[in-house]
Amino acid sequence: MESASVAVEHAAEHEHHGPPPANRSSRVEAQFLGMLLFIISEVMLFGSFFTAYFFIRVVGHAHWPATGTKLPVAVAGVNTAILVSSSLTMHWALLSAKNENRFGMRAGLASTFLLGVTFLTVQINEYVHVGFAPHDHAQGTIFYGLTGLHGAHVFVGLNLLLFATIRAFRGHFNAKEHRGVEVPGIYWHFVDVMWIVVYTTIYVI
Amino acid sequence: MTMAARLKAPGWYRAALGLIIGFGVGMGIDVGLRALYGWHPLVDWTAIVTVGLISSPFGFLIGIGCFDYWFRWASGAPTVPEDHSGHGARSWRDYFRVNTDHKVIGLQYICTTFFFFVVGGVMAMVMRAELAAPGTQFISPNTFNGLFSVHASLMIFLFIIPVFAGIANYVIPLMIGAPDMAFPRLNALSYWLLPIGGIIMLLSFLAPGGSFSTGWTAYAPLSTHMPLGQTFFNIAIQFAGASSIATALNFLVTIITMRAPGMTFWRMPLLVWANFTTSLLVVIATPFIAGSQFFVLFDRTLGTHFFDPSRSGDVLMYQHVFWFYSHPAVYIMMLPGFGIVSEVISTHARKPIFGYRMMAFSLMAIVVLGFTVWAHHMFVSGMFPWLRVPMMLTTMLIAVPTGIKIFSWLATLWRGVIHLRTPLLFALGFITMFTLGGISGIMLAVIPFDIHVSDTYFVVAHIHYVLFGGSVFTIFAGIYHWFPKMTGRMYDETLGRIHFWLSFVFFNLTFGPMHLVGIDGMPRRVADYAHQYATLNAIISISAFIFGLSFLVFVYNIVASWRHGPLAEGNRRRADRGRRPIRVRGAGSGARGVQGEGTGGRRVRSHGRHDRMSAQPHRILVVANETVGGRALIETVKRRAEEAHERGEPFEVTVICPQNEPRSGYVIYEDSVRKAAENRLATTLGQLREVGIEADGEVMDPDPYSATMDAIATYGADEIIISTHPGTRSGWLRRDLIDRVREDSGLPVEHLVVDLDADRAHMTRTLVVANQTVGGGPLIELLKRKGTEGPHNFVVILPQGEGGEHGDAEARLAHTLDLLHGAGLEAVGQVMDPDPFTAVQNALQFYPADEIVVSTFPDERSGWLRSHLIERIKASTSKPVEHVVVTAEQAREGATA
Ligand code: HEM
Ligand SMILES: [Cu+2]
Repeated sequence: MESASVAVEHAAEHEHHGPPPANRSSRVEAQFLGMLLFIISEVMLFGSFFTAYFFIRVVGHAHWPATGTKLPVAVAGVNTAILVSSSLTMHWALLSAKNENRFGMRAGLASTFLLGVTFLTVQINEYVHVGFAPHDHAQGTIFYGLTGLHGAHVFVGLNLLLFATIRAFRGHFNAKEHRGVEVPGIYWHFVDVMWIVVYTTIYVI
Repeated sequence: MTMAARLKAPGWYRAALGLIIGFGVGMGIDVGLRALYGWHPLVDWTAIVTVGLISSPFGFLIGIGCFDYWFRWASGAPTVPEDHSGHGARSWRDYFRVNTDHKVIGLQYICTTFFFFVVGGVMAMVMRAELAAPGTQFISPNTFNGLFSVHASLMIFLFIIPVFAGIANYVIPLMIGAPDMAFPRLNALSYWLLPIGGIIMLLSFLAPGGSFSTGWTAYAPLSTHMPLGQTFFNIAIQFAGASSIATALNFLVTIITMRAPGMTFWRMPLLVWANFTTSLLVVIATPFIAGSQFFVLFDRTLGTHFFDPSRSGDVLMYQHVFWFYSHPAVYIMMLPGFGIVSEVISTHARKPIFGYRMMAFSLMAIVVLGFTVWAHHMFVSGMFPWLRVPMMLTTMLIAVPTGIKIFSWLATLWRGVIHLRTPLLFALGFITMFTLGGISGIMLAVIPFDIHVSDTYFVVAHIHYVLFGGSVFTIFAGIYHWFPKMTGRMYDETLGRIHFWLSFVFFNLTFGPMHLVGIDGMPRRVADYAHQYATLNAIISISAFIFGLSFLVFVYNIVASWRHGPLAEGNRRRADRGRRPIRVRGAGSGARGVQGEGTGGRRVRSHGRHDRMSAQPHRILVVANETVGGRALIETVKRRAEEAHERGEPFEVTVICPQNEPRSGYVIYEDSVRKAAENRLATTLGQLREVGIEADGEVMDPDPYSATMDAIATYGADEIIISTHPGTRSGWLRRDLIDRVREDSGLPVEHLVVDLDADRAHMTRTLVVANQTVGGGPLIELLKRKGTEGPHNFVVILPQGEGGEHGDAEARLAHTLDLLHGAGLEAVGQVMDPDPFTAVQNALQFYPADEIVVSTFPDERSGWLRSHLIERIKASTSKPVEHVVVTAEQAREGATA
């Protein structure tokens, strides 16, 4: 009978696998809101690490940085610039996607990814040369704690970017459908802003 | 299936493989890193287990299939539908797979958490056996320490917090009219993270040195110096916490973006509010416990110095971070319970909740204040002395919104029509026990008193009054309350009451005396005690055993009722969607036959059935919903009937009409949903009669699959005709209804696609919306004029006014229908949701319509016009909308005409 084929065809027709379409009771997109809430909880996770930092440095009056150590403020400053510029390329990628500029989107995503990788490499290089370890003293602990937590976020962000890049090169995304660029982008900007806070508290002040 | 295929498909085989690979990868990373750094020994099992505890669960999750979709998505490959929404589970096996249906996930959560509840409860029994007399009875002090720690951690992180997520998963989408959660796949992942946390906690008993034994609070620096078992706690918390955050995020997005039209924030049931606020707490606070456990884990495994004062670390920092989560967490464990109790009380008192807005505001107040009181757990810890008094004051302040809620519940009960059934009993038990727990909480907020009873059994009494008498009682109330909805069957009321009274009495006998021994100074978390406490402890232990046994009554009731309990009745409670069908008259009185009759558990038999011919008739079962009454359907039935006639067979036609799940508005307007289905059915039976077929009809369970199968069982069938909208519009096709029915019934199933829009040429269907003006001259004139233009079918809906004027509305409607029938027009009608916009949205879903006529008072008098009703309707639909103005005078005349 025709019915079975109707049902099957329907499933294959387009990529709608979700439940039946729901009413939209808010102008905010679900994916966007979800990412925002996720970022709130990430901010709180950083908050707990900053609390540890606060107790060690402010409440406990520990020397900062620990006596006999120095933090490479300049190198980290350059690294900050790298990460900030990656936010710009990310934005470029999104704009290009919206304007159907496929080259811009691909180049934007790929360069963001590469800048992110550069950032992580510099960070690891810094760990190798900084001259103290997490288990030397509490200052070392929280230095590695905060920068490491941030590094882990960069790593996650890089994965998301990688997925977006792969999809972009395989022909996904256009002016209408670019959520897969936008949402990782929000996360990437968050990682960037968070770094500025970490950089300021750990290296600058 | 071959073994290779099994290992490739998502499921338990692949999960087992993933577990092994995950462990292997973890081991490889660990050994590799150690080799890289030149550390000895190369194979350090403590380190391997630590890494393995993180990597193997991921192997498991990948194996069971949590990530399949995302992997394909991430690699840009075409995604494969694995969606279960709408049909959920077909057999019990589906509950052991990754499933994205919110109802299935809800039950998965509830069953899993109850498993851990039982395990934690058995541990409590062993502890009470040990504490029945002074001295050592059966277990070593170290084992005792492990038991109370795992007991408390399971109860909190694996029972109370997630069981609420389970209940909410089941009911929240239904309450706000969403088809599922916003992120169904994330929802499935959150569920599967949970048992991992619990199993890791239980596995800690196998670790050398025993399970973690630092209590659920795991204070540093004690926890940083404990044997390996502590690491299990650190990691288990991360899994349970991640699960909790992901669900909370999902709830927030669902509630914000997926409410049905008309379901404004201020119309959400309080359970939805409760979950909304709880989820805010979870998203904001839970990362702090994750942080605290990371610190401990790093100090333990990487040798960092977060908590080592000799290297500038800070010990007290642990407690600040921990309680900054764990105080809000007590509200995470309580607010959903508040929501459940609000639902249960208002249902069983047959009254809306008193002070609805205040209830919602007080939830918000608790969320905000909850973050300002954490240090009341640290009065004796040696923290900053200046922080103590502010924390005492904020703690007392937070009792105010809590008090508001208690009084609201009492005011709701006041002069209500009270149905003292099991759910309400538990809710009342909750109110009393939670109030007592709240009062001992206020006592604890008073600094000098707290210093006196710190670390005594007074604290144990307090937490059990709020957590057991509070949260767990609300969970029981909720489970009994929604049991019929979740399973379609009734629990045994007598056993429910026995369960309540045993729990209530022995709960108090168990935990009440703990206040006394606590004030006398008996320390908590110690396996032995001084002789002076012997008598009371013996009483406590005996009561605790009976209390524990009372749980078996619950288990028996639930299991037995789920398997062979009586079917739940329709409409007995507004929240239970009935399974038992109501029958509408199939012949005789035509469209008006069902008008104005109640919708209780009434069964009207068709007279056509009694004098049916003696030969075995050919039974045709017609299943249709919105498409019932479509021309194609009527014609097909007619053709079938003629065919049977030619074969010389008598035939019998039964039309079933599964009632809709309304997509709009407050879902509890159950009556109107049913009424709409009855009206549609009555129209169809009328149309069939016009072509000479006497049919029987019935409105049924909303789930079309179970409705069809029930109907087959009840009436028998030789062939089935299922009528749906064309593909893209049909919710039923999305649920592969037709294939399932064909497979499971083994009968010939014909699928009929009815395009209601195409029917338009033959008959115009007009939806008429009016309230006070319904009988008004200009309106009736317009309808009569339309009636003369060609075949017309009218559906009149009256959004019911606020307050008790339902009866008036019914009378007005009946009068209007009389007028229309008098003029020879075909019309049905019903009273609907008070919000006219929602009513229209629902009516458009329930009835096919080609045009809409809205009748109101003139501009200045019409509340509908002031709320821009016409514009809103126009914006929501492409159908033509006409507006008829009826003056107050004309309306009055019409009412008496
Ligand atoms: C029959 C039921 C129960 C009995 C007999 C029981 C008994 C106990 C006992 C003996 C302790 C150890 C107290 C100590 O030595 O310090 C304890 C601790 C604890 N129980 Fe229960 N329990 C029961 C149910 C529950 C439930 C349902 C919850 C969760 C909501 C719960 C939460 C806790 C917590 C959080 C602690 C640790 C308190 C702390 O020291 O921080 N218990 N329980
Ligand atoms: Cu508290």
